[in-house]
Amino acid sequence: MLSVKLLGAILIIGASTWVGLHASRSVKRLDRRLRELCDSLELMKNELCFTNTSFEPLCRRLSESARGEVSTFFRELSQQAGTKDFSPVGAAKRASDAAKLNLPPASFFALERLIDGFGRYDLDGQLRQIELAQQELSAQLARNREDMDSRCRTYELLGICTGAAVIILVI
Amino acid sequence: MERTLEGIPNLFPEPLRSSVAARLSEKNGEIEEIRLRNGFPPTCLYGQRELPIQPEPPGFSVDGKLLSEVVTRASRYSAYAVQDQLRQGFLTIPGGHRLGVCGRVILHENGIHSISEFQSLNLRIAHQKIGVADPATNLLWSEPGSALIVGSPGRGKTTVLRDLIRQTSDRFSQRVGLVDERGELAACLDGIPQLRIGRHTDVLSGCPKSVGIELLVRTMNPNWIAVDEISSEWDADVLIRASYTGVRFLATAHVWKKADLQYRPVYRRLLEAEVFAYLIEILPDRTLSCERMKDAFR
Repeated sequence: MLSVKLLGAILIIGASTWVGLHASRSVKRLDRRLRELCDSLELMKNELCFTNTSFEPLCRRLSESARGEVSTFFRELSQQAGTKDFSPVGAAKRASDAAKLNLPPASFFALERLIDGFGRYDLDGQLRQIELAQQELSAQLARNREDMDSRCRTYELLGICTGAAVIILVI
Repeated sequence: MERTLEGIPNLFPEPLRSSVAARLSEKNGEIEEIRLRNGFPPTCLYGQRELPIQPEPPGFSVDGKLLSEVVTRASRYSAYAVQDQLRQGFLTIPGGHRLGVCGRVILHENGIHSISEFQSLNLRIAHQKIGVADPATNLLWSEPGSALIVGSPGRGKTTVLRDLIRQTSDRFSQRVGLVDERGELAACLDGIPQLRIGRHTDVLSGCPKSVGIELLVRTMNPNWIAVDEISSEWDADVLIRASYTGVRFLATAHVWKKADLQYRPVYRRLLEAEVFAYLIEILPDRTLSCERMKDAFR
């Protein structure tokens, strides 16, 4: 009987710890995605300034240089751009859903505005659009980093403590 | 005749796309131009006649939104990448086809900044006629020398030049440097020429002739340099300077008849400097007349 209780306690505390760790990892992943996106937008600016790369090869290039979800996001965009009925409007939403980018609403809105209006302006206008999106993403990155460590620790601790509390209550 | 037509219908949104595709296949790829004018039905130029393209529903006419959509598609959703071309009133699209643009011109201090509120578009379909320059090559190769191709608009100067480049490069194994300012001769896409210009041809795309010729002479050691549409004093200056290095030229000039060469200052300078040894004239029936320059103005 004791061994069953012990096994149950281990399972409960294991599960709640996993939930806490998962929440903590989500915060860290968001940080990585935002960093990757900021780097990609910087590369986008350089590609436009120095090689005038057009939208489809630009997305392909960004997909090759980025990692994880951001790479998938740009790969999706480049694949969409290769289709007959492509329109940049709505492309960011579709690519983000497919890549599971899961950005905070304000950051996603900045990215969506950039992609939806892509290619409508001359080089100066296009660079300014990228800078606007960069500003929003950098601000989000800074906000995320401000309390990232404490939030991660809190989630991990909460996971363990919740498990422990449940064990105490149940057993 | 060789053409790369696959991408053309995709420039147009439905229902125009299907109708253009049908027209292209119906006329077996012989269509020379597709014309869209705001407020009128779309047409295509076939054998110097404008034939209607009739998309569903009946009474379809072109509007400003459609024209903008076509330009956006032609720029591959990247206006910034084609702004220099657009300032000159055209866009080169994959396959070497050229989309001429008319509309409201927006001026800045240094000239045309952009074109908006499009009024009409003209898609000139590029084509390659293998062997079209054969009548000229025999004389040209009996004693190699620079050649100037002349003819009125639409006669096929670019097509003849492209074939001369191909033959010089492939048949005579000469290194040819090509300054493809408008992207019509080689139609490079991602660095790969879409039209046949020969194995020994080095291409500088989108580069002004005056800059490109010097760059090629300095870096690529060409036997020949090919350029399309000599038109400015700068072009003439650099051609004259580069001719002193021993490189030979293949070039075209926009004139109605060869006598015009003597009256236009740019061309008169080139004649006086004896840059070109041969004159290739494209006659109204599109046959070639090739003669030595000194015999042409005797």
